[in-house]
Amino acid sequence: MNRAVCITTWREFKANKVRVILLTLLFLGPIVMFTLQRCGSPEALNADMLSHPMMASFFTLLWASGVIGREVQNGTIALVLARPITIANYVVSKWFAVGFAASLCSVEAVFCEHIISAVNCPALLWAPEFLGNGLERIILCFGTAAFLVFLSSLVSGLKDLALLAGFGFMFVLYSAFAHTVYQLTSFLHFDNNFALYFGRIIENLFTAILFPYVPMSVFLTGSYFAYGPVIALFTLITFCLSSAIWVLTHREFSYAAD
Amino acid sequence: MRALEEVTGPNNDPATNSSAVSHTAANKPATNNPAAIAVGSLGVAGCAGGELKPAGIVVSGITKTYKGGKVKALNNLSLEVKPGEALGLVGPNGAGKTTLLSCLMGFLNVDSGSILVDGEAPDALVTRRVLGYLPERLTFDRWMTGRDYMQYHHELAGMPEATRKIDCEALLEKVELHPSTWSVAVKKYSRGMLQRLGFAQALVGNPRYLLLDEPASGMDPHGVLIVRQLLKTLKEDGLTILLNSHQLDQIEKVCDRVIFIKSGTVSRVEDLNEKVEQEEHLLIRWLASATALSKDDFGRVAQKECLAITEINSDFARVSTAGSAATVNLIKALVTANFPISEVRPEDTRLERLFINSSQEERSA
Amino acid sequence: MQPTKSKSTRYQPKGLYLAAAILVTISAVYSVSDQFADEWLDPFTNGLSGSSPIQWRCRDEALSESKRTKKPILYAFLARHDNASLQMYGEGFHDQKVADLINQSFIPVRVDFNTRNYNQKSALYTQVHNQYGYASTCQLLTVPAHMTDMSSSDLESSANLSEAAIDNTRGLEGGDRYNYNYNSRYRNGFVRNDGHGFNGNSPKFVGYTNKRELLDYLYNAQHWHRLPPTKGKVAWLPLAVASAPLTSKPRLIAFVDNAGTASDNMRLDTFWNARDYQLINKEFEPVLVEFRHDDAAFNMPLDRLKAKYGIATLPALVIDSSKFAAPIVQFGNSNSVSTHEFLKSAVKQAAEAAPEMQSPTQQQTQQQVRQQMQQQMRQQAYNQTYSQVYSKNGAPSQDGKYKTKWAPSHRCQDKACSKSHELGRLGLKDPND
Repeated sequence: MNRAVCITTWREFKANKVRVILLTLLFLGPIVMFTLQRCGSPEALNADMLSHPMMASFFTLLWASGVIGREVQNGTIALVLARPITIANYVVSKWFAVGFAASLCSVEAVFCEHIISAVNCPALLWAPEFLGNGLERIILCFGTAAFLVFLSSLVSGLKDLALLAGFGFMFVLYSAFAHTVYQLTSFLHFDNNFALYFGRIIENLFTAILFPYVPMSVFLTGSYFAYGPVIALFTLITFCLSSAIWVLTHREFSYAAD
Repeated sequence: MRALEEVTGPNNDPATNSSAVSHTAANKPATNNPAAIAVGSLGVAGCAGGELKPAGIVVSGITKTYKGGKVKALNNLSLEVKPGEALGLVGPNGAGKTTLLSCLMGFLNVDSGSILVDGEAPDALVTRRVLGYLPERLTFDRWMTGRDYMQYHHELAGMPEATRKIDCEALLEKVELHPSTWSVAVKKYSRGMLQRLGFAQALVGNPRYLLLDEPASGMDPHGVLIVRQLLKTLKEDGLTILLNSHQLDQIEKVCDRVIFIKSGTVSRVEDLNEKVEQEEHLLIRWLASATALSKDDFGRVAQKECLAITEINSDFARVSTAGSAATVNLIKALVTANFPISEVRPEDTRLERLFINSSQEERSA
Repeated sequence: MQPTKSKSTRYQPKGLYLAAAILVTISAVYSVSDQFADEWLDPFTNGLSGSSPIQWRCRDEALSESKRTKKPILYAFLARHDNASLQMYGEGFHDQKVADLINQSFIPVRVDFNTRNYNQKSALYTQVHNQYGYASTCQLLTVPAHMTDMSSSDLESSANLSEAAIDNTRGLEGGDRYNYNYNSRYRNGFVRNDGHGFNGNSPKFVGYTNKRELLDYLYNAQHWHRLPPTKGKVAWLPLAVASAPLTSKPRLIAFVDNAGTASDNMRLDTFWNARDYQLINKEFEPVLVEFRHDDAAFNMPLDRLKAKYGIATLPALVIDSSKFAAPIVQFGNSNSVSTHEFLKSAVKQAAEAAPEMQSPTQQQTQQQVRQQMQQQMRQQAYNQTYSQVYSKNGAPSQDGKYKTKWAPSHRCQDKACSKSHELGRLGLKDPND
């Protein structure tokens, strides 16, 4: 992990005005909606009325889209890699930088909601659900960051957003035709269950990759076997980081003018 | 005589180290067969493990193709850079110079052949510590200030934090960037300033090898002078410089050896320190007002020593002589004839002459 | 000279690659192989495996046992992939208090959702689903012993109330927790009377939040279905009055079941509604004939009355009077307004009609007229019920033909057409057209 790369990534984000504005909106939006909703409703506040931890993935998307591709497109990656730094170190630093920054933003957001809830109902100040939500957000940030760093290493510039959109589109397309696939398999006497199960895998895969949700709040309030989500999270992180490192190390950076 | 040289960490001092190499490793210039690589002629580098490794950059027979073999950028190219020397790369556009430098930096993988920098692969971390690189297309993060940029690269190079501020400011002064510009964002820098900043970046970490790709492109004359001066200083400090430039006069003034690259292969190696007897083209001026002699007199005197007289005017003439000895004789003759010679200037440099000759050969072939 | 193996920028982190490969293999095998997951990993990954202090039964055993011991069956719908059910299982069912309560007062049956194959539900779930309708994960369903063969609609909305709870309309404090919960739920129910009758307020449990709520539900559910159903505030006369001769005051005989939506609706709408019960107490002689849903022996003597008035389905309101040509019947309890109208019209009819002693021929014709009117009124009552259920506009047609909105109607522009052009605006076409 390289401190210089992390700090430069954060400062680069700060220098990009569009992203800063989007970050402010993303930060304030749920808080404003939450406040308006709570102020207008006679229902008693409880800790369940928080923004879903999956908001953290949007923060990560904002921070992590194009981290590596941007540098490849600009050509500044040549000068960075000309230094005695391994590509593995570089990728992990990028991942940590965007994950940390996004988790900080999302934890701040949930903290604001915590304070607002406590204004209305002081007993909620000690509710453990906020802690659970915050921890879930941190986990989500690092997981999604790994995936986005991987996408960013594949293409240059901001095209990884296009990749992500393509990924989502494929999923939507499959969902639209899942029924047809099922009918086709039944017509051809294939195993129906597999077709449906495969469709479910596809749906779950998209959600599981982009939002590797580990329900920490359940850990805090009750015992829970979490092998599935935790294994999925670690698989996602290690696989994506390894793939990003592999792709970048086997990539040639040619900066010839012709 | 072998010189044992230790490869130390990032804080190596080139002044004490490499100077020993450059003096004792008195090399006979390599012949025009660039494939002759002798370990003994290079000088030997030792690393922390105590093994002996050859110093310098050794490129042996590398081939690099793009697009699955269709475009051959480098074709069995071999060269060597001895430690402490300044090597110039000259060649037409598309000859593969930038590709060569990218391969030397380890950004591109060669299809065959090998590259060794101090006995290590070019993308080894120890190599990176001793290499300084200035790319052809120099780009910056436009929001950084000059000082930030230098400190970023200082930290990336693994240099200690205690000396960071001092080192960066010293380097910025070295490339003659005014202190008022250090806190200004890079997007406000002019082209020349950007190039100088890039140069400063290449010097971060006290490298022993400098790979410069068109360092003076887009620079104003002042900048060009600065670069030239800087290169001379660095060469005296003992840095090994590999310079890729289109400006032949700069190469001629700075480099010890020049390699001509054409279509991905070395077409000629020229040692500039060697005195080679070559045809010289001179421009001779005299003060016409201070003498009664006319241009015919000039023609008469010069004819004996010159190969050819291209042009005679009232106060200047263009002649070509067989070599420096003939030039000396010509000047002696003119002075004896009481010509008030004010200026004897070569019209094209040695490299230019080589270029012209080679292109003439091509056209005739 | 070969380059030595020093670390390069292109250093491949073998450790990371190995970890990624191992984890990917584990995830792939886990998600793709049913066999592997179910057999080998189940003890580790299934939060629902392992022992619990609750004595689960299988369904058949539970059905017979509940009939024997009169305890309600508690169906617990659990899914291994659902956090809430895992939490309920781990936290709730392992609690001593909860376990004791369940083992003591219920007969627990566990219905697991089969998550491996999305489309296949377990056989047990299918059975339960067919009878009681859809259930989601982390749901508890209590079926009282006498209702184990009822369908879901009757089961859900079976609102058996005891008078004591309804009377206690004072504040939330006071009384024990049981009463508190009882009151709040019922008070809400009464406020929510939306014109279609009381929609049922049996205790429900979907989604686990904490142990306290689970205990609340269990406390309520164990007592719920043991309460006697409410008789409202009507001043019921003893059952013998039903067989006694008719008096001048019209007699209202209410045939109700002790369970089921419709009967519940009638109890809570008509017997509890001030406007209705006051009218009944004033103008009628009310008799309550209460059937027991599961007890055929108890119902036997009452079936005679049912047959006398030709009642097939419960509930039903029969108003009989010596002044009436025939007893008027209302089946079901769809709308409190309609019931009130029914009662008022009966009162009016009793006030207007005053049959006098007539000659035998007149009596005979009167008999015929009486029979005709009886038939008419039966039909009217039938139509009244159904036409008010299905149509909102216009009185039901008088020609005795049963027409509903869904009857095909004829559409044409011919003014001289003799076919019925009713309800053509719905756009329904007569298929015979």
